[in-house]
Amino acid sequence: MSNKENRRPLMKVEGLKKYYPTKGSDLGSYKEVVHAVDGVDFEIYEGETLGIVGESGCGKSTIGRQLVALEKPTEGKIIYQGADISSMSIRQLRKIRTQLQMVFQDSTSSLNPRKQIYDILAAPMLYHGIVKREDLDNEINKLLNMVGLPKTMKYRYPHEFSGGQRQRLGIAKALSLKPRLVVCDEPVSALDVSVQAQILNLLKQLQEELKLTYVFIAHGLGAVRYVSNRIAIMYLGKFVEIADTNDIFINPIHPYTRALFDASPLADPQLRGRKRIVLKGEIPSAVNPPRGCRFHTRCPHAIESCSILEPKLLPIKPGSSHKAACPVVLDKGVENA
Amino acid sequence: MKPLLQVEDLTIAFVDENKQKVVVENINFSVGPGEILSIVGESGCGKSVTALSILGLLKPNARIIKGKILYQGNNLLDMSEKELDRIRGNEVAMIFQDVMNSLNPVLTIGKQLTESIGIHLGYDKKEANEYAIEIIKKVGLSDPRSIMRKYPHMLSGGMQQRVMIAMALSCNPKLIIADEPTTALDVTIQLQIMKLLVDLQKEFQMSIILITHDIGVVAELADRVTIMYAGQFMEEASVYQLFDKPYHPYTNALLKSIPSIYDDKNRKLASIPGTVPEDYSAIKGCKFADRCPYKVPLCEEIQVLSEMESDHFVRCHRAEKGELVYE
Repeated sequence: MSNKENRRPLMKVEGLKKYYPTKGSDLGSYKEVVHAVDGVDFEIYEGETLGIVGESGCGKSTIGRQLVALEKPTEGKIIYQGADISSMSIRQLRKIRTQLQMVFQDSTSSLNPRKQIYDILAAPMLYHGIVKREDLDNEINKLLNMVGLPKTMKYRYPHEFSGGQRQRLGIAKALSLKPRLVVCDEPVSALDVSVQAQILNLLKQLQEELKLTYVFIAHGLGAVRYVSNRIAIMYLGKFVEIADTNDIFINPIHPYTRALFDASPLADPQLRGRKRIVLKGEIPSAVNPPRGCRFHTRCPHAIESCSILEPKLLPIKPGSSHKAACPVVLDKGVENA
Repeated sequence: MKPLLQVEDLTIAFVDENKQKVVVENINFSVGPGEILSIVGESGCGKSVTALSILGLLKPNARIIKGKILYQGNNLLDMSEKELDRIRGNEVAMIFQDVMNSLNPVLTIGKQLTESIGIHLGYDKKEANEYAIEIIKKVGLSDPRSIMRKYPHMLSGGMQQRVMIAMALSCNPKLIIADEPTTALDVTIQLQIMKLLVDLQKEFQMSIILITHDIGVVAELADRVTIMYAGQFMEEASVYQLFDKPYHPYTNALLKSIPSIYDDKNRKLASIPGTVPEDYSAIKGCKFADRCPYKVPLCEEIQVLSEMESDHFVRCHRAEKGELVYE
């Protein structure tokens, strides 16, 4: 995916919003709305890995679920192969679901504990007519081999596997339907460090072999950098910055992006004394997100207009694919903001 | 300098019916006054069991087979529950990862704080209240009076963690055992809490035992580090020595398997094949041997910790002989 000119969008997301009603107060009548995703536009290019980074509650997993049509957005379009999947009927969706798959953080709860791996992998493939019954055995062996598990394990139950192995099964399950887009939602967060590296390498290797497109949702910046071609930084339901991986790490623009990078611990005690932004306070509630720029309540560079005008995600230079939503920094430059 | 806490030959086993499974094997360490010692390892390596054993908080199925835990020279393992109660909270306090399970959901923050302050410091209600407000301010929470009236579920994860730290600090302990104190938090909040811990540690001259699996957090906070694997210490050194020149293949692999945000993207991440063995008590020789790329027949023999440089110990016969060179 190094050749920028040849980028072809596989999916296009326009004005995506997802609001959830809360359960309401004790009296039942009063309802609040969580603005989980609040107006996001982006494209996913064929063969790339788009990383979506943000802290808990920023809406990154919500986006993931909309992309694979597990939920319907409140507003906006998700264009895949020329059609808007957010307005499709269940019957129409059934035809494309196989192409949009997901790998979850908690692989345990996505594997039926009462079924053997063989059956867990077989059922979706048979339902969608991906393989004929006589080829099933072969196909399952192939899948297990692909994710680095011995084929003798197919008659075991999920609890007989370690966390890393279960995540391999989660990947096998997603890949069994021959998807084009795989949304990986925090696929390594629950794993030990030594096993995390195994899974990240496996994901990269499979992407190359099968020409997959990934959306990689995570909060661990190191892992996201390792697998992603492009990265979007999310805060309270909005993208604050999006750019090619190298650009964003070399030249982070948005104050939140920079604070997030600064907060990421470095495995080098020599760098302990480094200068860095320590954000005050915590992420405001998504029920009543701050007006204007959502980050202005914690932003060290906020000026008066930040609390009034909602900033747009704009190219940092004309024509640049690096976009940021901070007029203050874009006006004055990173150094002077 | 005399150590504040000294652990000698500590061996702990899980016992059920007639089976005995050793989970912590012959570990030795000491924590000096004002020192931050970090015990690093993956899940199931025995680091939390070690932490819990210090304050006598092990579950009934865990037995201490042998060893001593000396706090200011007195063996905590010989103490009665009553004597231990004077140490717990007063002298040694603990911070847990899972805050929600350590705060009582049906009592207000104020009630929980003042209760322990009353018991340990003998303050009356009013004094305890004022003191609690002071402590809440110390951990960086604004509007302490309203926090006192709140129940745990009304606070965010970061605020709960601050309350936990406030509780741990409330009786001026000399030693804090922090078990994964920032693991459940977002990075920007994690940074706040790490800064808070360091500031408070300096202000109160406390010692901290930091239990974690996060190498990044260790690099930011620790003075000394021990690397634990399958119930044993594999390596121990100052944080600078360890990151600069790891001797043990496990330490080396661990350091190389973390993707860094300042990394060249094209470097292939080193991964350790396999997983931590579930029952490692039966392994006689090096417990890491099965996953180690440098394995030779001699690794089946019992491995001992030996000093490579001043205060830098490693449990690997090949590293000891200088046979291992890492890139």
